[in-house]
Amino acid sequence: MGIEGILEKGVITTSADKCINWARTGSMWPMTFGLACCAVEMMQAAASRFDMDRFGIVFRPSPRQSDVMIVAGTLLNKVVPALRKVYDLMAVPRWVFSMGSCANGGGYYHNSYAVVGGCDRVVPVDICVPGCSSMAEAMLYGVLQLQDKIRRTSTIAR
Amino acid sequence: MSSGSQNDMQGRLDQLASTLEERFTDLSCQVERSCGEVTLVVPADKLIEVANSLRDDDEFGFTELIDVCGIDYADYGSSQWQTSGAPNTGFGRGVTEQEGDQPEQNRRFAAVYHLLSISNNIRLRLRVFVDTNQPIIASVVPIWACANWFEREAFDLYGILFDGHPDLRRILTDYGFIGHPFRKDFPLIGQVEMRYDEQQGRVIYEPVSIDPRTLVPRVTREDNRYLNDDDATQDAADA
Repeated sequence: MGIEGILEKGVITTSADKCINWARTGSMWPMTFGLACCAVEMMQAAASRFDMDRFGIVFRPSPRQSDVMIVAGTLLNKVVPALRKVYDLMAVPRWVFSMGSCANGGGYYHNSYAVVGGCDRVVPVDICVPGCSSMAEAMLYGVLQLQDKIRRTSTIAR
Repeated sequence: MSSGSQNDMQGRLDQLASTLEERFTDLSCQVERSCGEVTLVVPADKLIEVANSLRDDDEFGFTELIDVCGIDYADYGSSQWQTSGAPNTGFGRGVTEQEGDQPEQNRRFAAVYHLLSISNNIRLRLRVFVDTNQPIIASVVPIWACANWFEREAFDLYGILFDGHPDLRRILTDYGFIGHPFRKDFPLIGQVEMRYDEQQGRVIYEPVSIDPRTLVPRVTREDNRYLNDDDATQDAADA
């Protein structure tokens, strides 16, 4: 192979997939998008006490710059076209984080005339975080789960 | 009021009620007293006249409108909630159409206005019943400009039309929504649900697929509230 012994010369070898996934897991930038009370807990997870910056998570105000969408709160019928448009504007690869009971399955408002029974009817969901609303710790656990999920995907060999 | 001899709230309310009776019984208005509050029931065609007097006359001075809301009096006062168990059809308010106590003709919908007089430090409620089949009432936006969005809300949720409103559109429900969801005969689960359609590449509406379901709280353990199940008053208190 000819790569043995090159570490001594200051060179590290790895696979392209690992390198790409390392970059992706280290900078998951979510779209700033809050729908209801879960958004407050999302802000709490992002603020100094739990500090999602540690995982390279920085909220972006534009879907063009975002990798992750956090559906934080009750998804009403009226906001569905806007939510889908934000998702469509995000560049691939993109991931969707469903936060809290309402986004997961309608939750408390499942039978309501105005509420969508789960955001998976509108966008493909990668991670569901349970809770009403999800605790900030649960959000961080979900972030770690999403990182694991990204690490398991291979970009070149599909 | 103008004399200022009565400083306590009760005295001022008494004086307001007597003044209202004096001024507005000719217009077939009624004064109601309940829970330390004064309500003036106004006929729909006299609303603008009464509202103008209430705002402009010094003895009233109701320059501030706190809230406008609608009320649906269908099934008003029926006691379907006061039970410790639930029938097969459930509490059913949003699930099935009930044959409850229907209010007498043209007493189903009402618009309610809450007024505040800052100069006299007193509050008043107006209740205006509107026609059931054609719920039209004069808008008070020319009198109190803040009624604009309140009346849009009452129109959106109850279908009460406000004649003379500058911009009577829906305010809360979905774009293109059909129906008035706070009416008692509107099903809780609505008529349509949404999903994203991959083929068409857009969000589409479909008729609701979930079944009407009654959520009955189930007691999984006995505690001291359920010791005397025979006691009817106990059941009523629990419900």
